[in-house]
Formats: sequence, C-alpha cells, structure tokens
Amino acid sequence: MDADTLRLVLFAEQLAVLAAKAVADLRSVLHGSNVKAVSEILDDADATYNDIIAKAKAS
Amino acid sequence: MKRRSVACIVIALALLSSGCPKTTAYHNLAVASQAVAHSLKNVQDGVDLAVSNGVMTQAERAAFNEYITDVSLYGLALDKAIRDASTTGASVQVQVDAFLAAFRKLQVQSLGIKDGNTRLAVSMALSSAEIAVGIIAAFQQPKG
Repeated sequence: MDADTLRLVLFAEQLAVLAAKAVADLRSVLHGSNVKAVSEILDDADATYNDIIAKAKAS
Repeated sequence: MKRRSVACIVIALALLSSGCPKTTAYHNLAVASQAVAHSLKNVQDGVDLAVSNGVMTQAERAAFNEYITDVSLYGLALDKAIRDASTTGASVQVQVDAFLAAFRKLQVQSLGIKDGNTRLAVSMALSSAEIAVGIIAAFQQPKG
C-alpha cells in the first residue's frame, strides 16, 4: 500500500469515527432536550454556534 | 365530590401531557436549532480533518468557514428571536427565512469541494442537519 492510499484509508477511518460521534451527539441532544427548558436548549445551541465561529476565525 | 376530583386530575394530566401548543412549538424550534448547531460543529471538524489529511486546501477551508460562520451567526439571531418569541410572542419568521437561506448557501458551497471523498462526507453530514432544518422550515408561528 503506497503512502497516498494509506493516508486515504486513515482519513476514511477518522471520518467514520467522526460520523459515529456525530450520531451519538445528535442522539444525546434529542434525548436530553425532552426534559430541558427552552432557555437551556438555546444556551447550548448558542455555545455551539459560538464555538464554530471562534474555530473558523482561528483557522 | 369524588367524581369531580377525578375529573379534575384527568383534565390536569391531559393538559400536562399535551403541553401548551405555543410552548411546544418554540421548544421544537429550539431543539431543531440545537441539533443543527451540533451537526454543523461535526461538519466543521470533518473539514479540519480533511485539511490535516491533505485532501482539502486551506483556501477551500477558508471559503467553507465563511459560509458556516454565516449560518452560525444567523443561528444565533434565530435563537435570540426564539427567546423573545417564547416570552412576548414576537414573530420569528424573518430570522427563520434568513437562517434557511444561509444554510442553503452552505450546502451549495459544499458541492464545490474538490476532493470527492470529502465532498461526500460533508454533504452526508449536512444531510443529518437537514431533518432539523426541515423542522425549522416547517415552523408556524403559534397564534395568540
């Protein structure tokens, strides 16, 4: 296996891990939101949007 | 007397289990916004992964980050509007429309990613946000 192929395989594996994390993340969001107040849900959404903006600025 | 108490309990339980339609509508909208935010965060992590693996350029990431930042800013505006609407009943339609437009632009931008695997991964991750975006798009302002 050449270096490029190996890098692609590793990238695919990392993406698979990320996809599994994304599913778990969404499941926990949807499960937890049933018992949370609107303000609490929005606080988490705001914090996540702000994380995205900060990371985008830093990159 | 006993029959009246039972009737009161049944009515109270029915009201509690159904939830106030107004509160439920804003609750659903808030959950949808939260789900989109988390999906976008994962999309951004995927893009970073692609850059660190050399399958996406810094320039492509910069362009993508511009659009994802826009969606996030409109998401923050939408969240603020939901907070206001849930207490004052003000309309959130303008913020909903602006958020949807920004999300569509991000989707179009993602189609321009050169590497096929990354493009596929990003569009799949954005598809997971689609369901929540659909809830936002279907939102109807509660009356009263």
